Amino acid sequence: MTVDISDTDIYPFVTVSGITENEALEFSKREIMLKAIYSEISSGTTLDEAFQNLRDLSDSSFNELVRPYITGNSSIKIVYDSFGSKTYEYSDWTSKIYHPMLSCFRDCHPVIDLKSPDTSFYVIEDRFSEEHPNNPFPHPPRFLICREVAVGPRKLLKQFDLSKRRYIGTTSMKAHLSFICANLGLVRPGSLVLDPYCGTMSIGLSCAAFGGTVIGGDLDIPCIRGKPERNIFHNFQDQHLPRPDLVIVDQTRSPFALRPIFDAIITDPPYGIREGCKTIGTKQTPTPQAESTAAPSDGMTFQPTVQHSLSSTLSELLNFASQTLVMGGRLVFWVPSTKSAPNTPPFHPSLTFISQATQPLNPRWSRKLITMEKVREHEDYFTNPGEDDPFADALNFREFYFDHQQKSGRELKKEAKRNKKLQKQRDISEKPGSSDEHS
Amino acid sequence: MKLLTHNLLQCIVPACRKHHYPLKVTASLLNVEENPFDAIFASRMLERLEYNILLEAYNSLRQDGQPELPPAVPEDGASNEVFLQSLFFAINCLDVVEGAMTCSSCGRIYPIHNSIPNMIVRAIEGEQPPQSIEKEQEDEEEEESEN
Repeated sequence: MTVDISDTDIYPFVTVSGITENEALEFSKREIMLKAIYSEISSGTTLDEAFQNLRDLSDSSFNELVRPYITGNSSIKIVYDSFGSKTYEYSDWTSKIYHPMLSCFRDCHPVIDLKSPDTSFYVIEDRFSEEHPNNPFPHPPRFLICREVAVGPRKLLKQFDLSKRRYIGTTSMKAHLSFICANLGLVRPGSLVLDPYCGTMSIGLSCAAFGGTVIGGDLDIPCIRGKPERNIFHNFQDQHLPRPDLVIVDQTRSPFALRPIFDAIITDPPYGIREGCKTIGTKQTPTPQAESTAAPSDGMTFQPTVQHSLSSTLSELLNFASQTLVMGGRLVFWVPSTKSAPNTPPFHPSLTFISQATQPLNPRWSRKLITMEKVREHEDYFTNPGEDDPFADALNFREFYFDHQQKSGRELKKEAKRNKKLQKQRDISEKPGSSDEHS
Repeated sequence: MKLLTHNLLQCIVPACRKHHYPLKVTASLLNVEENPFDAIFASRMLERLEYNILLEAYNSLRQDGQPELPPAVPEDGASNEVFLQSLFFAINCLDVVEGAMTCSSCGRIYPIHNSIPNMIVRAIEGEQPPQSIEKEQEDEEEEESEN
């Protein structure tokens, strides 16, 4: 299978060649960004030209591409669709599109069934270049006549929509993005997937929908336990998926055995903006006495936490993944980034970099979805601060965000207070001088 | 918590690292989930599990009428349907709802409540607890006391 993806960044049509119909069907069950797969029959710069090309098809091509779907009792439907504004008004469709199309079917007279046809023929108008004149790959407007082979799995997006879930949190990931994560992690039936920062298990739910078995861990006890009537287990139950296993973990002291076991680790680590980068600890050194009395006996104790840097969270994640992934296993994770950041991919000796995709969040900062695959046996790897640290940018991310992005009202107030204080001090030190002058 | 997860968990105290394994699991409430049998999953997990640990934990929890696991993996383990079915039941259906896991080395108890084990401890002896880097809050407190 070859894919021409030279201009897919913005262009909505992708040309694929050498793919069988069965492959297309399999593909369309998983690729969440796919609308549909069509088999092209003819094309032209105008509708008349496209129809003419269809009429001029050689007998062998016609017998292969069209005839099998319109002979006998097979029913069809003709759909006119477009990218960009449609040239033809609704009132013209019958005379300009449907009748000419039917006249191209030579000696065949298929049954028309608009509700549940065996085959759908599409007349697609592509006016992308007119809608986006500044795009670097201008295409002239064109008409495509094609047959629908497979429809993408967009119904999953409706089924797994956040608004339909019983239990969500402030940072639950959209169904769309979680399915993309699951695809990048190559989750399939029989896969064992870990999400060590699972939150409300959005990513885990998508992985389970693709047949994976999921283990989720999080430090936030109230979040992971939920409430008796609405928690993570209910979300899985509502979709008729097997219950995941949940564990309360502190990834800085991970309780998972360090041997290759997971097929994929897919996670969205906390950046310290909306969810804190936390680890268990207190600001005071605890006395042995306090420790023994404060033992979490009921499992519901709220743990005191302290701030943990994002950079160390990420380098821990890379080392953890290289130890616990099986060979060929995938690590998929999100990191925050800024526009000005260098575009160097993260490095680890046993993981190879596969891809990164950027999701712009606002004009100045974005987040990247990074995919890595385990290709070599584990070896420990830590970068020294300042020494080509792949996450140097992420390290300062929290400070950057709070210092430069949006000074909150509280911070502005604080700054104003400080300035006022300084002004007062200056006034006081100036006053004696001024009084001297007067005397 | 299912026994697959139990097979992956170890005591988090660094001093126990060398003999961290296994945590002894006890249960006061068990549940059986009716997950559909998945032969691919069971045979894939067979290569990755510590079978002896699974066997010990499963035998301590097994009730009458539940499938038995043989004392060692049969030679044709990955293709033996009957064996894979009992393995699947052991790792993916039997669920510890209430119970605890105990480290045989340091005696630390990790409680399991509502099927979710709590694998965090407040502080570990001999280890400097991580210090807060949240200076901002302290600043604020100072400021408030000044006012």
